[in-house]
Amino acid sequence: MPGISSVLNIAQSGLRASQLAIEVTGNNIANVDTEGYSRQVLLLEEAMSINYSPGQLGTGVLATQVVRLFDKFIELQYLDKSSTASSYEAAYGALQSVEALFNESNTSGVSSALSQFLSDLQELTLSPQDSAVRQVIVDDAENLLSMIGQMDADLASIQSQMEDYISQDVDRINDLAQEIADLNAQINQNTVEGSNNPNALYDLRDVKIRELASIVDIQYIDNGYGDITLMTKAGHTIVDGTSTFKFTFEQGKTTQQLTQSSTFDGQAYYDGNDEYEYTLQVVDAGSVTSGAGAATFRVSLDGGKTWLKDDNGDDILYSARPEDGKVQIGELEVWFGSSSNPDDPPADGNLSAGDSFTLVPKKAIYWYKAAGTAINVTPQTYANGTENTSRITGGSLEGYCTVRDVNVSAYRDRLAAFTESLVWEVNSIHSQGAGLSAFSYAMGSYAVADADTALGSRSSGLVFGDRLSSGVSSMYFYDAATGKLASAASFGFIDFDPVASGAQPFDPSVHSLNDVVDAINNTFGTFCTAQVINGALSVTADTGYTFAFGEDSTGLYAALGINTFFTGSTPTDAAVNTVVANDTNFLNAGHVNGAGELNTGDNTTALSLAGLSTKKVTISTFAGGDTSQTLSGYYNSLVGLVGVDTQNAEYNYLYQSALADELASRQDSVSAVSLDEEMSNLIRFQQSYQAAAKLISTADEMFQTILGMKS
Amino acid sequence: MTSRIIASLNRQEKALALLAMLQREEFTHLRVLDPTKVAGLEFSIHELLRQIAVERTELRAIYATIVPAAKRLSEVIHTFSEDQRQRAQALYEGIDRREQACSRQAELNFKMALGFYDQSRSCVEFIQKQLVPTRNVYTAAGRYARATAEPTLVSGRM
Repeated sequence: MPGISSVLNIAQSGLRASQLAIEVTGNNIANVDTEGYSRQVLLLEEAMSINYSPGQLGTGVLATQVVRLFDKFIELQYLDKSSTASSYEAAYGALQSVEALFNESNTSGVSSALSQFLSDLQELTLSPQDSAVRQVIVDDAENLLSMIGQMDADLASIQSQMEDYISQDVDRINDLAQEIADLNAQINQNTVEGSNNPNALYDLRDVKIRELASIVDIQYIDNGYGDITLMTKAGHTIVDGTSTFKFTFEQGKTTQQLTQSSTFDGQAYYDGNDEYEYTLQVVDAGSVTSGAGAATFRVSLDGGKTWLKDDNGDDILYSARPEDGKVQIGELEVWFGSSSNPDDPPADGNLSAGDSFTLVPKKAIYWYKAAGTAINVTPQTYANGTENTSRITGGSLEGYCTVRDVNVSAYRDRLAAFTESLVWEVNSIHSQGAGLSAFSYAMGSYAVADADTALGSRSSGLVFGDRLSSGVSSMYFYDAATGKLASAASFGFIDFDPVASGAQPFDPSVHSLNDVVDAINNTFGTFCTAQVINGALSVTADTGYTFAFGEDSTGLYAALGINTFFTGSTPTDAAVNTVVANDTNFLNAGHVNGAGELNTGDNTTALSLAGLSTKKVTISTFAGGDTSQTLSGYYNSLVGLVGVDTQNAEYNYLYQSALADELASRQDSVSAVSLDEEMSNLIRFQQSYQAAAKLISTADEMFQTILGMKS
Repeated sequence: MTSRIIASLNRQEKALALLAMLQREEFTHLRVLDPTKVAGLEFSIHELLRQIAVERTELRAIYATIVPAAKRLSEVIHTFSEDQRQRAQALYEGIDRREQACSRQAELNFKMALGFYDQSRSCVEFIQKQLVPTRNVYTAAGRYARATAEPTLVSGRM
C-alpha cells in the first residue's frame, strides 16, 4: 500500500540501480585497454505497479541484467576475412625469406655462377689445350653446383620451417578447441536466460575463436545457451559444445579405394618423398607382375583433376610391378605388395579398372572423426590454381602449407629440372667429345636397378632413361704405344645384333644394360672388356690399347655416365665427374676426327658446349609445364616467378587485412569502450544516485513531520 | 623543335613518376580507411592526368609541324640526331614503363576500393534483410501485409 515507506522503497531501488550502473560504467572504464573486452550496459526495467486510487502507482526500478554490446553478424564476417588475411600473411612472411635467397643484388649467386661457367666454356674454345683454362672450368662448375645445392638446401630448410609452424598451429588448434569447449561448459553453467549473462566468459571465448580463425577457416553455429559448434569451412568439426575433435600433423597415409568387384588384396608402396599427393588409378585391369599382363595405371598429382601426360598429350600409363620392379614416378619409386609386408607380393594381385590408391609422401594434416578414422585435410591446390574445398582453405595453416607444397615445392622442382637439364645438356655434348688423353678404363656413373630391363623402361632405374632415343654410338680403339688407331676394325658403331648385316642400332625400348655390354664385347671384344659393375657400365681396355668415344645419337653415353663432365642429376648429388676433376686432360674440348684422331688443338666440343649459352632447351615440370628457353633464361624466369609470387602474396595480404581491419573497427564501434561516453554516463548515473538519495532524505523529513505532530 | 619534344617527353616522364607516387599514397590511405585523404588525392590525380593530356596534345601539334601527318614519336624520330634519338627513345621507353606501373597500381587501388564497397554492401543487405518481416504481420491499417511474395493458389479472406 502506497505511503511514505513506499517512497523509501522506490528511492532505495533507484539508489541500487544507479549504484549498479556506476559499477558497470566503472568496469567499462577499467577495461578500456583490455584486448577482447566488450562494453557492458545495465538493463533497467520499471518495477511492478500497484492498483490504487487515483490509479496505478509505480514501485521503482529493477536492474534486470548486465549485457555486453557485441555484433555477431560483423564478427562472423570478420572471422572469415581474418582467416583469409592470416593465410596470406603467413605466405607473405615466408616468401620474403625465399625472395631474399634469390636476390643476387648484393651477393653472387646461381645466376652469376652460371654466367661464369658459360663464359669459361667460351674461353675454352679459344684455348682448348690450356690446362689453366680447364682447371678454371672445373672450379667454376663446382662453384655453380655448390650454389645450386646450397639454394636447394635453403629452400628445403624453409619447407622444414613451415612444417614446424604447421605443427605448432595444429597443436594450438587442439588446445584452443579444448579451451573453447571448457568455456562452453562454464557458460552453460552460469547462464540464466534473461538475468545472468557470463559476459567475461563470452568475451574470452570470442578472443579464442578469433585466434582459432587466424589459424584455420571456421564456420560458427550458435546452438543457444552458450553451446556453439565450430567447424572448418569444409565441415570438419573442431568443437561441438563441450566435445572436441583432434587434428594431427603426421606422416602421410596411403589409402585405397577399390571398385566393388575388385578382389585386390594388397597395398601400394613408395620410396622417396614429395610435396604432391599421388593418386594412382588403374586403367587396364591386370595383375601385379614384372612380366607381361601387368595392370596399368595413370597418375595424378592433384587429386585426380589432371593426369600426367606424355609429349603427345596422352595419359602416361605405368605398369603395376612388385617390389623388384619399382616404377619411377616423379620423385617416387612405386610398387605393389601385400597388406602386411611391402617386400611380399599381394595376396591377390588382380587389380580392376577403376581401383585407385592415394599416396601422401609427406607430413600431412589429419582430422580424426569420432570413430577414429583419419581424414586428410591438408590444403591442396589443383593444377589450375583452385583450392580443394573439401580440405582446410584458410588461416595461417593454409598459408604455411601453400608455401611448403605449392610455392617452394615448385621452386625446388624448377631448380631440380634446371640442374637436370644442365647436367644432361653438358653431358650429352661432352660424352661425344674427346680430351687430351684416351681412356684405358671408363666407369659409368648412372646405375640401373635391373641390368636385364630395357634402358628406356620406367622400371630400369636409369635417371636419364627417358631421354634415350634409337640410334648409333661409336667407339675408337688405339694402340697404347703409338696412339694410332689399333686396326682398320678398331672403330665404328656399337653393333646390337652381330648376326644381322651392318651395325644394328640401339633401341631403348628393347635393349638392356646387359645388351649394351654384350654389344660392346661383340663389336670390340678384341680391344676391351665391358661388364656391369654395381648396375653401371664398365669398359676396360685390353692390354696395349686405349679408347675414346665418338658420335652418339642415342644419348647412351650421357645416360650411362660414360665420358661425361657431370655426375648425378639433382641439386643434391650433381658434381663434376671425378675423372675430369682429377685429370683435366679428360675435359673434352675436341673430338675424334674423321681419320679417328684426337687432336690437341681441336675445339669442336668446346664450341658446342659454349653454344649452350644461346641454345634453347626444353625443360618440363608439373607446375610449370614445358618451356623452351636457354638455361640462363630458365633460371631468370624462376627468379621472376619468386618475385611475382611474393608481390601477389603481399598485395593479397594488404587487401584482405585492410578488409578485416575495417570489420574489426566496425565491431569496435559497437563493443569498444569510449571513455567520453563512459564519463558522461558516470555523471548521469551519479546524478541519478544523488536524486535517489535526496528522495530518501525527503521521505525522512516527511517521517519527522509526522512524528513531530505528536507533541 | 626536337629539344621541345624531348623537353615534353621529359615532363611526361616526371609527371608519370609523380602519378605513381600519388597512387601509392592513395593506396595507403585506402588501406587505413581515410576517405577524406583519398578524395583529396583523387583531385590531385585528376588534375595531373589533365595536365598530362594537355602535354600530349601539344606534343602531337609539334610532331605535326615536323611531319604533317605524324601522331607518334616513331614517325618523326628519323629527323633527330643520333644523340637526340637515343635520349628520346630512352624517355619514350621510360614513359611506357611508368605508364604500365601506374596502370597496375590503379588496378590495385580499384580492387581495394571495390573490396570495401562489396563489404559495406553486404552489411547493408544483411540489415535490410533483417528489417523485412519473414512472417505475415499486421499493418497499421489492421490488415495482413504480405511479407513474402511466394506464389500461392488461394489468397485473401474466405
